[in-house]
Amino acid sequence: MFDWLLGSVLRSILIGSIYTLMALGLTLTLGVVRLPNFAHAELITIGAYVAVLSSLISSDISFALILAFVITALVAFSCHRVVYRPLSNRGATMYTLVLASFALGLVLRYIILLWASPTGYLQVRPLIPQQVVGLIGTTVILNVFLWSLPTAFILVLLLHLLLSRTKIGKMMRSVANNITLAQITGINVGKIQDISWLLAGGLAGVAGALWAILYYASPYVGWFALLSVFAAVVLGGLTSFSGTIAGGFIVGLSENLVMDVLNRSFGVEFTYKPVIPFAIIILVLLVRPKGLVGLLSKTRIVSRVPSRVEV
Amino acid sequence: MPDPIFSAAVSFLSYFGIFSILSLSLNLEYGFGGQPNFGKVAFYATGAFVAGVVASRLMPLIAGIAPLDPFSPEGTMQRVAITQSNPYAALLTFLIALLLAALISGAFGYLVSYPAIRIREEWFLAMVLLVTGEILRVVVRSYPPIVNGYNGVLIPNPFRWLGDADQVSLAYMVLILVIALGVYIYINKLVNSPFGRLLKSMRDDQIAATSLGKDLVKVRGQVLILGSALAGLAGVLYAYYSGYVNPDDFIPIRTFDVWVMVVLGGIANNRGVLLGAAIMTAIDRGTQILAIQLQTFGGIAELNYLRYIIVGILMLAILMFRQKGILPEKPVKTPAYEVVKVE
Repeated sequence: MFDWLLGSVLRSILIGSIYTLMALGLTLTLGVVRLPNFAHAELITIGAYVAVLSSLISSDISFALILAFVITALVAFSCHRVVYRPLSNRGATMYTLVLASFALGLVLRYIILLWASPTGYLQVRPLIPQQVVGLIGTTVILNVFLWSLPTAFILVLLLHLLLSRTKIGKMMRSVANNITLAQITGINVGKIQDISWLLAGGLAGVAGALWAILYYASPYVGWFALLSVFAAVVLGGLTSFSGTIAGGFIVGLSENLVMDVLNRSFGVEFTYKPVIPFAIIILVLLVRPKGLVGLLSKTRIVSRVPSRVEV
Repeated sequence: MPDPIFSAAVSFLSYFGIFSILSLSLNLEYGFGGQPNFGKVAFYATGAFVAGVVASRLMPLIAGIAPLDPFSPEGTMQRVAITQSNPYAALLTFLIALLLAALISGAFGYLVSYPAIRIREEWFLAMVLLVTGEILRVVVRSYPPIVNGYNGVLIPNPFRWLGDADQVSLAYMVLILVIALGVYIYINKLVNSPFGRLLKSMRDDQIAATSLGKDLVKVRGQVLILGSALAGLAGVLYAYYSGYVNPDDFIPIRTFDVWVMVVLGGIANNRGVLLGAAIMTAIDRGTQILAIQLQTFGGIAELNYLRYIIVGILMLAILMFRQKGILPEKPVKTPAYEVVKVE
């Protein structure tokens, strides 16, 4: 009788783990570079397409994930060097950077569309075989499911260790906390920002690749996920590490489990599903603007996002 | 057979009028007031939805005919029949739609921003508005009783009774341009008034403005009400121009388009913003016409995508090389300024 519940929980966790990976990248750029990066969506899309294209060479999932990490990290890095850094050097305000990231995302998205539309890549699955490896009740467990959660877990753990145990992580946190103070103490802020962009891009790429392997790749994959990811970040308190992880899973749960319950008990149609992340953003901003921070987190990256970028 | 150059010119000028109203209203909010309205599309859409509801429900009542199901083909035919035979009902409905849209969009703008303008950081306002636009679109497209969900609703042009299609579009274009001109004059007067200077002081230094006893929360509310009401007007004009109210027209990229017009033309310079709107219209219409022309010759369908790439690159270029826009902000024109200049 409650088979749907199990399936729903499983789906929530899978999607929640992918959202978490996407959201962690966004949190990094938000914290270290102070940019709500709308082009994050396109990094996810690029990761998804890298998975599709890499499956033409090899159907190995780990190959696809590593390739997605590397290529997307490089794309994110070049975006930073070509667009964001020159803009910041010219004294751009936060809104200027937001507009620039929106414009960059638009350009990337439609370049992907321009390529994908005539070549028949508008909605594709990677050539990675999906096998049933087990059954819980009537809920099917596919081999690709066993990839997404461990990958997310390992990456989150690695990122946590990087931020809390290494010197680079310490520098990243200090840049996020107070960029001027970090500069005074001799931290190479440019280098730290480069590293953050590489990491953010890589995480987005892996998340996109996982999404493609589980579902499909399309030029809009990242854009459709982006507002859920923003919801996760806002829920986590914008720049808190553990808050974001919790946020990712909460958004995953509310989009799947809560939606299923609403549908079955109250007859709410699935067309309303996109409202859920938006409602979360609005509610959090209105009721508890600092998100889950304070309830859950100790490794906070920055106390608040300043309304202007300090140069 | 309509003359292609004539219809292209009419379409260009109509879009230019609508885009001008939108970009002038954003210029008032962001350029002068410093309020980052990333949800412009929400109020534009509200206007269009109001037009859809008023035209489909109220018009038969005004004409004194028993209304049919507004979303059925018969209902559409009934509306067309009324606008063809009854100029009074057609124009009165249009006027009511304009007034109601301005009122409802303005009220909606205030309601949405009410909690966010109390928080000092404008970031929250930007996020809340952005998200509101998408919620509105998703809800309206999923909830048929408003404008028939994602199927949309057809509303006939209020000048249908003129008969000839060219004359109808020409008359409507003139109407759009007259309203746009009115908005331009109004905003120009407003920003050169004490209220306009108050807006600039809020944008430039919140602490200084507060220390002079200005209630910034109130000013932020006022400017958002005004900007949203104007965007609602543009929404009505657009809905009647395209003859079709479709929730999926109002995606977040529409907001971005308006931002491009403002940033490109010149932040806090109304003439610059008009120039930005003209450039944007040229790109929008130009690629559209080119795509249709190419398609009739069996060309590529992907030209539509180029429009977004061009707009995106244009935005990046202007942010990179000319942050104040093509026409930068000019000093305030007040009697005192004239005195200073003479001395």
